[in-house]
Amino acid sequence: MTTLEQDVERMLRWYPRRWRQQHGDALIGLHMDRAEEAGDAAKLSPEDQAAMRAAGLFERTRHTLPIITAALGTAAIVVGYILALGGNNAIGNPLWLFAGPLLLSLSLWSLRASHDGRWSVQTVVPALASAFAALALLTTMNIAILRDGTGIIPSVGSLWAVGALSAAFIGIAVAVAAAPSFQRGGMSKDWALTVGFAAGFVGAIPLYLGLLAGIVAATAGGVLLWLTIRSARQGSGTTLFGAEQRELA
Amino acid sequence: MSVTDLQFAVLSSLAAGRRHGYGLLRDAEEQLEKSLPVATAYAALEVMVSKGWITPDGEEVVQSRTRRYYVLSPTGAQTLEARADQLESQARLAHERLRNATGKAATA
Repeated sequence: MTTLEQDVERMLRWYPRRWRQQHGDALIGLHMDRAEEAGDAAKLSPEDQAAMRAAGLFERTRHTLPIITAALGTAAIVVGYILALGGNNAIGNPLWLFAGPLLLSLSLWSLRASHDGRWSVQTVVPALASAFAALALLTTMNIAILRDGTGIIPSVGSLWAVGALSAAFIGIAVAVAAAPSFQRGGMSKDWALTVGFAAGFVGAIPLYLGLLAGIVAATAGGVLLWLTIRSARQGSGTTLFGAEQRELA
Repeated sequence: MSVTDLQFAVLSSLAAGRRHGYGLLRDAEEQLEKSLPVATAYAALEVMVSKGWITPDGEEVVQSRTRRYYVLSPTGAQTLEARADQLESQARLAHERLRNATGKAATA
């Protein structure tokens, strides 16, 4: 076995075992073909090592990250809501208003990355934008709750002002995240930003309604958890089926 | 449906017929005029398999190296055609605008 083969086999440990069994030989073959053509069979380049580390880590977390974050997010919402109802606002509110939605946001976008087979600008930018939008919305909501001392449900009097402000934050975040995609679709920059802002602003309304009730938020988390588990099962099934096809071939 | 440059290059390469992974990588690098890490290219091939655009078509062991072959699926051919049409119309529009801008500059 050459040094290059040993290098590739060592780096393959970054991937999950099942992936190594199905694709390891093909990936080693690709590296050997490249080394032969380049006339340099000495060692794996730093770029190739970095690419294998990144791809291996992605494969390892591909199905587990959406499930774990959905489960933790749902648990944070349920536990936080129960604590807040019991009067423990200091721990309860940050849990169900901050940690829960952020974890669900991460789960949603990691589910998208899992389907796409990679984290890309189109996945990372909306993920960050939605996390910041959720933070902006929930911070203003929490300030309203604390100011009015209304417990876990803010008064309608507070909502119109802080609601409009936080919806504007969401509008800006969505406009920045979605405008490049709209532009690629042929829309002018001005229209792309306007439509993005309007979509974020109006889209905040159901988010408000959902966040007013912990039960609705917990249900949304439960649905997301079910989706991530189903996706993981389908993903594993496809891979196994693919392996069977190759063996038959 | 979004198609990355690398995916487009692979689909285009497979439109010419069945190829193995390294052949696809080399052809994609030539089309894109840049070097690609092997693991990145392999991950892109797996994504395209999961999307149903390309299909693994057997393996060969050459000099104790495993070579996996791929073919273009009907869905992949449609995707390639649609993206090629889109790029063609974008390029035509860009040329028209450049010609118009040159014409305006000449008359000014």
